[in-house]
Amino acid sequence: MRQRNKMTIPTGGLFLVLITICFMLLALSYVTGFSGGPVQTVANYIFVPMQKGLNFIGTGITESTKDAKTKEELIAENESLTAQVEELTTQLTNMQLQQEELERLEELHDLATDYGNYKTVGAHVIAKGTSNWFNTFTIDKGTNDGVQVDMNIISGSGLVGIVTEVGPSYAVVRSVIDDNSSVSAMILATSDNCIVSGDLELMTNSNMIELTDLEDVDNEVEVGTAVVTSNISSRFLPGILVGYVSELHEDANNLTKSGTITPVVDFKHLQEVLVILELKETGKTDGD
Amino acid sequence: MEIKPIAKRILAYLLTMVVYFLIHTSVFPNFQLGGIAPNVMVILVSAIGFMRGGNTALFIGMGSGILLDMFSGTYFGMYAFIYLVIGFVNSAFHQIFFGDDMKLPLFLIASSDFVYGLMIYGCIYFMRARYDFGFYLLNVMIPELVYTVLVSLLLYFPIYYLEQWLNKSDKRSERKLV
Repeated sequence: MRQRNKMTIPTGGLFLVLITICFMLLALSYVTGFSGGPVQTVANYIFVPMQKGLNFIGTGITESTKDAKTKEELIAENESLTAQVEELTTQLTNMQLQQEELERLEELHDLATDYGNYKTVGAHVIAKGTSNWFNTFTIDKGTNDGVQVDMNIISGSGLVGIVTEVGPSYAVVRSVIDDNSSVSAMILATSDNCIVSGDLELMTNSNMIELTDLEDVDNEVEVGTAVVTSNISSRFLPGILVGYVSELHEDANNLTKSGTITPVVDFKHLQEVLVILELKETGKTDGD
Repeated sequence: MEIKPIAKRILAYLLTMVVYFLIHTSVFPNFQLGGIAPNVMVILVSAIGFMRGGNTALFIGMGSGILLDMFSGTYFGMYAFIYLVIGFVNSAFHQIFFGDDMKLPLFLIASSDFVYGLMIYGCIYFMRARYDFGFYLLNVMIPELVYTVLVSLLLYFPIYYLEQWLNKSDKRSERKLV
């Protein structure tokens, strides 16, 4: 009599139906940017609090194993750091002088640049990637804190990535070292534009990201030059440091150059990041 | 009041999925070996696939995939598709699965993880002209496979005992009805 409990839907048929749903989801997300909708909100309240807690414990364990440094190591480190402090202090004084000069000149030119004046909010990394193939992570700030898709993420002085998905209290960030990421950048000194794109192979082998399409006609760009986000980028705010050129060579077309960049951010030990609560003004209105 | 066996089963699977998802995204990324974390969700989907088989495997696969899709920021539906296929293929081995042997589960989990790697490489990386398959094989797929198999020695048993407990309570309630 209890026959009705037995499922009678054939597995093969159900498989086809579900596969179709998968492809429909893919198409929907491709066309409209759909990323879960109501399910996302539910998931937000289930997972984010637990991920926060777990990550707190995990970080604690990693930190405590890191503490184990010998006395000799500490002394050596202290010496080198003291030397570095002296060096940096001199540099800082020089920079301050230059800064003052810059400010005076800016006043003269009436150039009120807003670099470094972006409004930011701090966030913790609560979950790292869902796969070894992608470099994405989840942070504990979402729409409740004013975070939106396409906002830039920085850490210290460097660019970390961009928000690709956002829920009420979490956001998914794609870092600049992700294989799928590409940033329109420029050389700080010469303002030459280039493209900076992540490459899993390059990242695994040498912790670097790729630089392509650099038009450097006068051969002015050298190894060690700073690379920042460009002002023509549609999603990244201008002037955020990405990294330093570590290798450069001419392309086969003799017009452009490519090479590699050492990123300034330590992506392996990322724990706190800053979200810039400002979207790049592109001159387009919503709904375009 | 007694909970219906089917409701109990669904609840148990949902809870396991939540726990394994948290382990996948928030625990093991802190214990990476050479930048590689094990794929815990593949263990879950594959294990339930060959232990339970049938439609359950499909739902667990697709559910886990959607969960990952929400927290990954890549193409929504990609993981759902991959894990659905993994669940389906594993459910085909339900007929020859007997609990007392560890060889088949480990082999199936390892192959599932390898298939997962192949699918991501084929769908995403190959399409973007990353042709150095050997590199990805040696630096991502194989290390992940080894680490996943090691971790599955730990994470396989909770699923196995859960499944046994569910089967037992199913039988008990059947007997009561007859």
